[in-house]
Amino acid sequence: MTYWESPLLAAESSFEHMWSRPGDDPILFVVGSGFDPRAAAVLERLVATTERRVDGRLVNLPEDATDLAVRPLVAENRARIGELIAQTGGELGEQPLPDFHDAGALGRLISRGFQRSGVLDAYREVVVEISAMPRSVFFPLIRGVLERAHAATAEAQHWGGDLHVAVCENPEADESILEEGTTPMAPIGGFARAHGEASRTTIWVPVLGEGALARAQRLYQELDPDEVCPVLPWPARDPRRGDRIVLEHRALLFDDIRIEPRNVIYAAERNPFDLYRTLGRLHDRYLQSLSPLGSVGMVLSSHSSKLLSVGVLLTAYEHGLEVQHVSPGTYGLHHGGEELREHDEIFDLWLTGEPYR
Amino acid sequence: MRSYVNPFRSRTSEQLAHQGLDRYLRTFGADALDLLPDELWERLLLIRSAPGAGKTSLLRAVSAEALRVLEGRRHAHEDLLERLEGMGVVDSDGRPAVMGFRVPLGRDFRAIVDLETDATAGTRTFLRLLDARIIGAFCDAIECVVDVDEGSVLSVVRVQAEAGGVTALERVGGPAANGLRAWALRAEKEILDRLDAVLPRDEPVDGHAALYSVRALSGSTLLVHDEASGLRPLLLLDDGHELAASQRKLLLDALHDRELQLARWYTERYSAMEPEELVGDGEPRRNHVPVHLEREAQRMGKVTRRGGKTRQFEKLLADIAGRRASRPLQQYDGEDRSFVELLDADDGNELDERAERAVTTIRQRLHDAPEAPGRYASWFADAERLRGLEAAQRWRELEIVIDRDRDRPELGLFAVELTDEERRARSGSSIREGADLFLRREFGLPFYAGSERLSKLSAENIEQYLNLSADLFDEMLVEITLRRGADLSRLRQDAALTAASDQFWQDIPARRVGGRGIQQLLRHIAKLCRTETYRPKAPYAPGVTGTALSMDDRKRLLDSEVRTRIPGAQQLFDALGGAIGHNLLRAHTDRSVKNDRWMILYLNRLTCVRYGLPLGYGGFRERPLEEMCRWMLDEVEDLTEAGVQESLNVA
Repeated sequence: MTYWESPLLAAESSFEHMWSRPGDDPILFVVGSGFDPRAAAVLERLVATTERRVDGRLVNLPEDATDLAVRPLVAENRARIGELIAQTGGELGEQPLPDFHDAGALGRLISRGFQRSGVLDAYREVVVEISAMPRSVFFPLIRGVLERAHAATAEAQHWGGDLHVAVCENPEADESILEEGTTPMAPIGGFARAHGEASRTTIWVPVLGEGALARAQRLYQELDPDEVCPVLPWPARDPRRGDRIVLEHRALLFDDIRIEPRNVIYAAERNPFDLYRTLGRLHDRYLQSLSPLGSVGMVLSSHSSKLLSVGVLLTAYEHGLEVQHVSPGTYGLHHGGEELREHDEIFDLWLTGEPYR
Repeated sequence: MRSYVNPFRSRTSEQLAHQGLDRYLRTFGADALDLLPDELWERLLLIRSAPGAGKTSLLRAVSAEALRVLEGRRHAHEDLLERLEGMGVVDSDGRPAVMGFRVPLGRDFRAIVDLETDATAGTRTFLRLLDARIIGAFCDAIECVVDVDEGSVLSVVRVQAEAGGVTALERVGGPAANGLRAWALRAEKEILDRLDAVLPRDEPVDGHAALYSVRALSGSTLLVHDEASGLRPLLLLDDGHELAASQRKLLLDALHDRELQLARWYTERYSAMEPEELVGDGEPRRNHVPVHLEREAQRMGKVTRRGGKTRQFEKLLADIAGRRASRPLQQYDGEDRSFVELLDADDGNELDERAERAVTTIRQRLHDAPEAPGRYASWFADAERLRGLEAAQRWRELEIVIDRDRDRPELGLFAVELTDEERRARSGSSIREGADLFLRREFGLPFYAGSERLSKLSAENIEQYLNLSADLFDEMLVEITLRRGADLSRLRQDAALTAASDQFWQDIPARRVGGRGIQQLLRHIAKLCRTETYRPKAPYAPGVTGTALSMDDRKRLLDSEVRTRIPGAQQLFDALGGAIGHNLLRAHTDRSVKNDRWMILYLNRLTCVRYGLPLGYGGFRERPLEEMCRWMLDEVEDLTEAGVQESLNVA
């Protein structure tokens, strides 16, 4: 089954067109309490476009995962989000930070808490904004909503609304994010392998990006894959971006993995559905050719932009694939990042609801 | 152009599933088994070390998969089989006598504490999942070592439990191996599906109240076609530090049970920053056998194992390097010399020019000194007879000894000429090593070169040794590509190791949580060490490579209330824990020095290269807790050896 055969991706100009459609229902805007300077960018555009009421749900994230230097940005983002929500007559609620000891469990705890709160059931249209949320949080959060949206209509957990995933994309700003340390490898919540006997053949598909070499190396060491198919961003706004990523990862790709050049996969930097389709085809092909040798496990990992990460999420969700993750220990900023904001681009992926009925 | 493979870049023991176990075993140094004590089977073997010291490799060597390969290819692994026979792991025909099965503790367990609704449910789920993993690994091992003519191995194997283990065995699938496998798969799937859920699930937990698997296997007999096989199970629990504290305690308590008749080894990362723990019944040494791998590595060559002499750890490293590099060296360059022989080869006259400049400069400095010109005449005459690097080393050694001699108050009264015997008495290997460091710093003469210093740089850590050897082998491949042979000059070795040290340092923030705090601490320690090492008289020759915190101060630091009171204490606590846990600092706790008890903190030897420090665990300068806490708040200049690096002309 293909959930997103004819997907709807709105970028920049079409974003305004999409959100200026008539409607009275309030919108639920779910946003992380992170420090990312782009945290309020989508909301600003949304509030400027729609006349509908926008209620907010601020997902509280652990403070100690950010540098002391950027913590004031968290408060600034929170205040700005509150202002924008108030402008629409909406209310800003908070998703409390659950008690946790293992950061690997946090995403699942937040997702379960969000669902348990019942807030989703009160809305027909929800935007999950992921610019200021780590992958380990937004993957399970979005999966939870997708599972309910794709549940049979008769089931109690079915939710029939419109889910949007929105992000403010800016590769230059991504590079200004300082990520320190690596945590042990763990599957992202909701994306562990199909349990049972281990796969005989493991294919690892890392979506590569800048500044993530240590984490990619750790994943490679722990996964010990039989085959590696790295994904590079192409086409990309900066045509040399893929080259730079290869250069940064050269020791891993050529000395350690000794990669087959024909295994390199290209996916459009600004279209996660392109990655979703490519990975889906790759999975089908490997399944077909290698399953006579025993079970085949395709493991995805995302080291690139948030936007492309959504492509990974959708592929893994649809095909039941494992997504492995090595998180940074803490986040910070190399420099303010404000001067890079001119390259901000808004993307909205409409994932469930009206376009698919 | 021909493509070469660097044999040191092949993967670690944790990644051997697909690279071929046989190849892994061929590169495993059998001497490593001498790190394990004589007593292996009765009590819990508790193995601790920094990451990369070889914990997992040791477990792999006694795993059922490895023993199966060894049995099939006895002729290729005679030395390893001999050691394993001495341990009682294989019989005199090379057939497995034990069945090691490894259970990694890193995945899925820790999160249970958060994901279950309450502590009781968390404990029950943890024990059930651990039981499932233990039984699953046990079944894997059976499939490895038991042969059947046709059909499934598990269908002809049964476990005969002791009377006290029958109920426990029923709880984990019953006596039939098929039943055990089915139970393990079902239990693991149920638990992981429950844990992985992103939507709330409120159904009650089906957990375990105790670790039934170890009770079930305790004193059990493995029956194949209803006949006793003689194979003893060996439970190998790996990476216990990955568990939550409550889970780790629960597990260790279960493993300390004196009634257990099950061989069990447990590994975890060493941390010196936890309160002294009481495991089991509070008498740890009575109920388990502690093995600290780095300490055992230092003792090798001085102790006996299983009735035989052990070889030094350096020999083990050279053996591992030889096993990896010999074939590629022969294939790529027809080179018969071993990897370490190539590192120790004569440089010819490559260093003569630098050495001559050093001799000229130092000689001039000594002759220009006003005091007692005749006092050192015979020392100078003796040095004049030497040539090249040897001469430079002697002159620098003399400069240190003479600097010290000039401080003697009686010098002006008794300016008698000193003999060569007196030079020897006043000098020694430490001063000579210090002199070598001074020569590197001032004249760019290589210090970090040769097989002995490479071994020292590994800091008893096999992974670190392999990484450094990989960098040196890369350089050899360059030479081979340029058709200049595989020899690697000492200058190139020093340059390559310096670059490796620098990369090691640069990678700290990317690879270690709290890496910048760790770097802040290490920069302060390095500054302290450099200041003491490069004093003209080299008072702590060959130098200082560490600092120390009194055990009283350590106790204060472990107290969270004290940490809230002293600015910088929490940062220091985090940085120390991270640095020790990641092998960036070597901690020796409770050492008696200067009428007090100390925790001595030595820099990782690879970090010492970046700061131009010696490679010993000797000199240290103690500091009070308050000063160390201030280190975490004060920026400090990063005093590296940049000038020296530039002078290592490697063109």
